[in-house]
Order: sequence, then C-alpha cells, then structure tokens
Amino acid sequence: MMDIKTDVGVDLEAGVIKIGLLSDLTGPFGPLVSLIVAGQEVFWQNVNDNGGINGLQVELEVRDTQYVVDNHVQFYEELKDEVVAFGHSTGSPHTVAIVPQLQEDGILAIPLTWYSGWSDPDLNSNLLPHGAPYCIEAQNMIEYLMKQAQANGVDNPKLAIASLPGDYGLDSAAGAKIAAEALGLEVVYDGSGTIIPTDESTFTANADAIVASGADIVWVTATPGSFSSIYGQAIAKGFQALWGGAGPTFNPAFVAPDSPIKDAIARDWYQSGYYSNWFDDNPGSTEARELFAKYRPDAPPQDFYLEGFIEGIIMKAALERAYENGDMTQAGVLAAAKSLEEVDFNGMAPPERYTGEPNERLQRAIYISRPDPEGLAAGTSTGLQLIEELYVSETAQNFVFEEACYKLGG
Amino acid sequence: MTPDILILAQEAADSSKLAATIWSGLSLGAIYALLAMGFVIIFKATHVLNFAHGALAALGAFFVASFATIIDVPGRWMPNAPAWLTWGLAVVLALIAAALVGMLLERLFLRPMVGEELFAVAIVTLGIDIVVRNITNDWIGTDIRPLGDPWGTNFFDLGFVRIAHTEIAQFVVSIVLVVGVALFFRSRTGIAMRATAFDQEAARAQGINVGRIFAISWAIGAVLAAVGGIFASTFPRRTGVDQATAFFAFKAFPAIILGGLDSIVGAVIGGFVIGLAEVAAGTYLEQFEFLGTGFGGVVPYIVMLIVLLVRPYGLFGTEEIRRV
Repeated sequence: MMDIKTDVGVDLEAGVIKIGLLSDLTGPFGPLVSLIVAGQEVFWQNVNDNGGINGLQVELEVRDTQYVVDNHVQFYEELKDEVVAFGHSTGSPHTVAIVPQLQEDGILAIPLTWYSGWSDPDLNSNLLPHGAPYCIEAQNMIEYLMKQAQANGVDNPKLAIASLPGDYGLDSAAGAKIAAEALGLEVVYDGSGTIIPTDESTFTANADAIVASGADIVWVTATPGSFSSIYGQAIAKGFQALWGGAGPTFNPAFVAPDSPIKDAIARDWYQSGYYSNWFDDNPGSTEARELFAKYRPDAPPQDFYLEGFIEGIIMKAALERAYENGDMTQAGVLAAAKSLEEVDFNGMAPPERYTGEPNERLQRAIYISRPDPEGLAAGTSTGLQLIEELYVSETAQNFVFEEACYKLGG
Repeated sequence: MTPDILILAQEAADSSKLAATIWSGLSLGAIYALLAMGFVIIFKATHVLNFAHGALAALGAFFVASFATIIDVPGRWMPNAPAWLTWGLAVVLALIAAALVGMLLERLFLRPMVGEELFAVAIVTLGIDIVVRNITNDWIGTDIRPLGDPWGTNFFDLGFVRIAHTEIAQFVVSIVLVVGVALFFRSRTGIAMRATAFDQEAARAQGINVGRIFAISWAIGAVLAAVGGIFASTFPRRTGVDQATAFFAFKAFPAIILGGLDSIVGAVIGGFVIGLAEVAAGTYLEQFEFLGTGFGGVVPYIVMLIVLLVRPYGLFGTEEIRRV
C-alpha cells in the first residue's frame, strides 16, 4: 500500500473509512431522508463488497438531526472528530449553520437541499452541491410550461405563483419570477411565501386567489399535503390550468388508484426532478434497481433511493481522488473533491463539475415527467413517466449567477 | 390603507365571492364542529382535556384508508357490491377500531389517573398524543393515503357556489351526528354520563358504573374525532390522510374554548364560527400586507380571545369549569 496521509475518519490498519450523515430521520422530512439513507447504505454495501475504496471499507455514521438546527450543529461537533467527511447534510438553514465550522475545520459536506445559495463562493468552499437549484428548476419549468400553453393555443399565458416561506419555497418562487420577467409573462397572482403547511386557511386563500387570477400556468412550491389541498379546492371551483412545482411538491399518492384527483392531476401536472426516476432506462437507475433487488429485495420502489446513490457516487469520487493524491486527511478529501472536473452518474443525474467559476459549476439541467396512474397501478413506474431528460431552458441557460435568488436569513 | 379598504369593500360586495366564502367557511366549520364535539364529550364525562384528539382524528382516517384501500376489507370479499357499500362498510369497521382504541387508551392511561389534578391528566394526554401520532405517522409513511371514498372530485353548481359531493356528505353526516349526540344525552346511558360529569362519587352511589361511562365517552369521542379526520382528509380539502392530518385537528381548539369546554351546542356553534372566521379572514384580509402571511390562521385565536374576555367560560360553558 502506498504511503497515505490520514488524520480523522480513515484508519489504514483497520481498513476503514468513516463518513458522517447528518440526516433528518424522524422530523418533517424523515420519511424521505430515511429512503435516501437507505440508498446510500445499499450503494456503500455494494462498494464494500467489491473491494471498497482501494481495500478500505466505508462505514456510515448516521445521526438523526430531526431537522432541528441545534441538533444538527451538535451532531456535527460530535462527528467531526470521527469522520473524514459528511456524506450529506440535511436542510439549508442547518447546513448554513455548520458552514463556518466546516470552513474552520477544513471538512467537506454534501448538502441535501437544492438551494441556489450553495453556488455563492462564501458558502461553496466546503460544499459539493448537486442537481439544479430550486431557482433554476423553476426557470426551466416556467419556460417549458409557457411553451406547452402556447402549443395549446394560449399565446400570452398568465402566471400564478404560490409557495412556502423559507429557502425551498422562496428560492423556487424567485426563479419563477426571474423566468416571468425574462419571458414577458404577466404574473397575475404572487403568493410567494404564503403557504403555511400547518395553517388550513392559507390553502383556501391561495386556492381562491389562484382561481380568481385566471392564470393559465400555476407554479406551486409546497409540501404534497398543502399542495393537494390548494389544487383540490381550485379544481373543485372548476379551475383548469397547467400546474407545476418544485420536485418535492408532488407525491406518487396523487396518482394512486384510489386518489380522487388522479385523473385531474394526470391532465394538469408537469413534474420536475433533479435526477431521473427509479424505473427509467438509464444505466444508473438500472444498476440501482439491481442492487436493491440484491441487498434489499423487499424494499418498495422509490425515486428517493437514487438521491442516496448520487451522494454516494460524489463521495466515492472524492475519496478515490484523495487516495490517488496520497492524502486522506479531512483537508485532503476536501481538496480532492474540489478538484473533480466531472462526476458522472451513469445517466441517473446530470454530470457535475466542482472546479471553475460559480456559473461554470452551476447545474442547469432537470428531468421533466408526467403523472402516470396506469404505470403506478401496473407496478411499472413510481407514478411518473419521464418526458424530458437533461432539459435546460433558454432562461436558465442565460441566467448569470451573482448571488442566491433568495438570500437565506436576509 | 384607503385603497386596501376600498378593495375590501368591493370584494365584500362581490356576491359570488361572498357565497363561496360562506360555503367554504361552513364546510370547514362542520369539520371543526365534529372534532370539537368529540373533545367536549370526553371532557363532559371524564373532565379530561384530551390533547390527543388530533392524533385520534388522524388514526381514524388512517383506519379508513387501511380498510378501504390498503387491505381492501370487506371489499375483497364483495367483488360485485357497489363502491359506496364496500366503502361504507370499511368506514364502519374503521370507526369500530377507533372506538376500541379510544376505550383502550382510557383504560390503560386515564383510568389510573382518576382523582388526579386536571393539569396532570392533561399532560398524560399530551404523552398519548405523541405516542399515537408517531405510531400513526409511521404507519402512514411517506405517502398521502387516499381514503377511497366514492364521491371523487364530483361537484354541482348551486347558484353562485360550486359544491363538492363530499361536502354534502360532510353536512349530512354532521347533522346526523349532532342530532345523534343530542338524543344520546337523553338516553339512559347519556343521563348516566351527565350524572357522572356532575359528580362522580354521587353517580357511583346511585349505582352508575362510572368506569363504563368513561369508556363509552372515550369511544364516542374517538369516533367523532375519526369522522372529523375522515372529512379533513377528503376532496377538496385533502386527497388523503398524511402526516400533517393530526395537526389539522388542533385548529378545532379555538372552537372548543369559544363554545365552552363542556357544551355540545357550544362546540357546534364554535366550530362554525371559527370555520367562517378563518376562511373569511384568509379571503378578505389577504391584501392587507401589514397583517403578514397566514393571518387567517390567527383570526380564530383572536376571536377566541375576544370572546373569553367577555365570557371567560366560553359562549355556552358552565362557570364551574376550571381551565388549565
């Protein structure tokens, strides 16, 4: 074995590399993040069974942050003396809270959020973001939906926007407004930040406002529950438009056989995604399905596993580069990660680069799908059918990143 | 300010918007009324402030999703039966399960607390809320669980207002349950429950089985919570039960306090008042930016506070009630 420099989280004698995961397992995103963690576990199990990282076995140290910033910081403090890097860090405010420490300690983390601020040089130095940010996703989708509306005979479609507060909702809403301005679309209702998931009245108010606006395109960035209430109340009033929203707004249950809205949503909804779907044909998704069949044969099909694989692939590339460099210290892994010119996901997600200027690194490609009730009922899809792969709109292509579309905390 | 008020005046004069708002408020209020009634029955009979009511509502709705769509019981044995019948039977099974859970919770956790401070018992129900909510959410999982009701997204137009079939069902069921509860309190068991509520020791001395009364009140409370949870989880309000459903029921608390903790009539009226206030505020106060986002959600609590300032025991509550 060549001479490798190590400090924390890599034990050459024991043959172990430890990776930390700051996961929300029991908080609001627990159900989704648990699936992502399962994806990482299967990914690393396969890597380990095939010789690990040059003979070193990867072990995950998972901590449940419950989506609480204090817990997140506390578990970071605990794990920074045990792991070589963080394989994901759930939540934007949570990740922002540990960025100064990451920078001081020289440790790498993969943010498990799609906030546009990760491209900001002040935040980016220790992070490996991946996938198009909410803001870019919205720009892509508004242009795509505009073209759909025009194809349906609406020359100047009107846009309604509604979202949650916070980085997720407001970054997405900001992207929609950037696209509206670039494309000359009239925003007939702007409900940015007005959906409060625990407040029923905000659903009714948004549904009423969307209906009253007479919009042809509706962009909603919310939780699936709050979205379904707004959508249900709007179509109950006879409203019909093209609907879209940031990826996590949709839930496959909308197109389940017993869902009351399955036909309406199949007619109206356009789904965007940061990566492909579980049942897609690309080699990455196919391999993920095969590995789950081998290691977790009873696991139900879920798109979120792929995010675990994507995070795993990024970390594996960083660890392999660090090994090649002969420096598997925390700082060595960070430096190796930041020298990756291309990380390829075998068609599962758009390739990422971690070198160059923010605008060169910024991911602009998304996947677009349509609801697929028949596929879900037949067990051949997770409720979505891919229609556009690696879609980049002109608006997103021309977008010049200067700062986060929505400034977190300001 | 002036332009906003002018806009408000114009909007208020828009009769179709006003009619839609009133309908929407009544529809929401009917759900609050169902939830409030269940809470009040448990309080009336046992003097327990049941903070687990929201969790019971979500659990009841999940039972319906389980019977009607997940395990398809009894539908799987009745392939030729109409959808409304198999769904109705699934709901009956779900309500029986909810009643059993209510009785079990009472027997295991509340019965040993008889005679303890109101505050201590309320804290126990907070613990039950956490346990039931977490178990239910674990069962619900990541997805929204559709209830498989036969009404779908069907609706009809009545003048200015578009009414979903589920909303008609909701009103009919609410009226039936309000009348049913009123009749129950005139029955032998209902009178025994009122006697128990008035004085447990005296009721026991009169030969009333107080433990049985407690169990029945929790069963009825859990069933009413479940029915509220069902309608909170159907179109157009939701498309199924999910992990947020338990929190929905918390919005019924202003209705309960407003009506008076021990008044069924108060619970029903409080439910409708709060539903109307919430929807009207959400619809008409949207343009007042200084009020901030989600002001409609605050209005029920403001209404509650104003009423409490004038009538500390709620609109219909009796003055002996102690508050926590």
